[in-house]
Amino acid sequence: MTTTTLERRAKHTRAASNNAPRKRGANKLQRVGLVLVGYLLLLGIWSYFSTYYFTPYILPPPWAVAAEMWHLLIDGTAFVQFGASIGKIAAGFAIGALIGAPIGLLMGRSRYWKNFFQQPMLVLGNVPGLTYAVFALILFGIGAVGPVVAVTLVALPYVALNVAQGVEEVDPHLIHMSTVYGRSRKDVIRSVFLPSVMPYLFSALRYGFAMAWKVEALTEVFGGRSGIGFMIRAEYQEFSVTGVLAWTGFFVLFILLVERVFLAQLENRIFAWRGGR
Amino acid sequence: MTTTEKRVQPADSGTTTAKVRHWLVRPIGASTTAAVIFLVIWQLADALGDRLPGPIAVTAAAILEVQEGEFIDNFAISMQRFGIGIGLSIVIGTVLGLAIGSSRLLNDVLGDLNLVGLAIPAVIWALLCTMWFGFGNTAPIVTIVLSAVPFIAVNVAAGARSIPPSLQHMSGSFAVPFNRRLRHVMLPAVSGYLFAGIRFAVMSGWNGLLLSEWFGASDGVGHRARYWYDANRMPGFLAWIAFFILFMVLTDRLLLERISRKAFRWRDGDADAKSAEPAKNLAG
Repeated sequence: MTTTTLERRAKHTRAASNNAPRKRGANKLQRVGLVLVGYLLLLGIWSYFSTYYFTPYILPPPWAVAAEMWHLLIDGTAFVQFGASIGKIAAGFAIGALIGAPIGLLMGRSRYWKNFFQQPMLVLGNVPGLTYAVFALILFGIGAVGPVVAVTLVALPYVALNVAQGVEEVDPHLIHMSTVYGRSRKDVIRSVFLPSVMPYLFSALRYGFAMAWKVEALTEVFGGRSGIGFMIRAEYQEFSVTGVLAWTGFFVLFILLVERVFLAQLENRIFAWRGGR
Repeated sequence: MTTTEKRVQPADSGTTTAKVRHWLVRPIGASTTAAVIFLVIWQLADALGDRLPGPIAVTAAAILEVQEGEFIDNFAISMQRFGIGIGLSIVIGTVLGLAIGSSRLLNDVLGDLNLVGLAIPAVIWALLCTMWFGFGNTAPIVTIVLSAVPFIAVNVAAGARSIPPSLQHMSGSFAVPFNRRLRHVMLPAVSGYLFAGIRFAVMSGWNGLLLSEWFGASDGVGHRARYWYDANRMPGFLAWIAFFILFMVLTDRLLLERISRKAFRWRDGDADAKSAEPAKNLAG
């Protein structure tokens, strides 16, 4: 992927945009079309190279990968392994949030605890994924515990730092006013604290999830017995580029689903009070 | 992460203890307390279980590794790969990011692909590159590029979107040539975002380099860590892990954060730039 492909892409899109969308009002349709054009371009370049430059052994064409994916979907392997991975991520993230949120609360409320936890949390966030993966393997052996612990460790600093920042951002005037008007503690937490912390928590969820997902796959590559990381490793050991690409394809599909559908809807619901900004 | 160390300190009065107490609640004191507690727990884990070597054994192994010259040799090789990879990523990522950020059309076409690129874990690239290029320099460098470019592109694109349209209109009306427009309008607006992107890219690229050397190289830091791992000699392995973390933290803290803050100074004044963004700046 060098600059030359970029130029080629640019040229193609200009050509495509000239003849495709005629309707003025269908702005959204045009956008979706352009996104599709992007994917088609990628697939086009890919099939070009796989048919003319490389043997299918090195770079299989897209349709071979699609066939493999279809195969995995039909016999249910894809669902089983994805389910295994998602379960581990959810468990790890939940534990990480349970530990991280109190730490973040402490950090946001007290100067001392902020100083205490700040550096460890930043270092924890800087640790390369490889470290978690191998540590999990050493400490917990092959199995499900390792990935869950790795995800916990990844999620922890995200949740803690974001909650801390959210708590710090709470408007003291609002709290002050609430106490003046004699609102109960519960009311203050529900109507002042939560709306202010929510965006930060959401950001933690979003970026933490992307990170956790990567580390979870990595941990499974090293010492899993199920999940997509494990499957990728199995395909790698058989030197099957088709297999690795097929699982990458599932990965991409899942990420797009989460980003475009799940997180987008969650965002709409949580931030409805902002009035669609 | 215990909650008891506040009570650990003696409550005696007296000038020295008071001084120590005062020092302990200051930022440096608190960080030191955290580090010491961490080391003690680590050493205890060594004493109680037999899976994990403690900090003393690991430090000894690290010193041995430096004395034998393995540290310098492998780091030199890896740094060469890292430099080339990150250099290439910066060039490619900037071009891509400018394209995505300045054109609506390219944003629609390439933006989604970039999102996908952000989401694919480095381990997949590392395995694919090992299968494609075999052992050598190519696989690590390509892995770095593939895992770092999306981060730079996405940040540069955000910078390009922040260019004031009035400036662009003006340079349009005065027929400013593209080269000068690039130098005086686009690059200054983008530079801060670029450095923020480089920070993510360095982190992600470093992870990619380690994985790629672990699976497909016969030298370099990743391979050396694997050497100890395969030999089942945990102190040596953990020494390298410590080197990795130390390197990452030092680069990030001493170099990149400062450069990034400096590049954003025109926007944030002298207030620290970190408060402007939520804590998403620890992507890997």
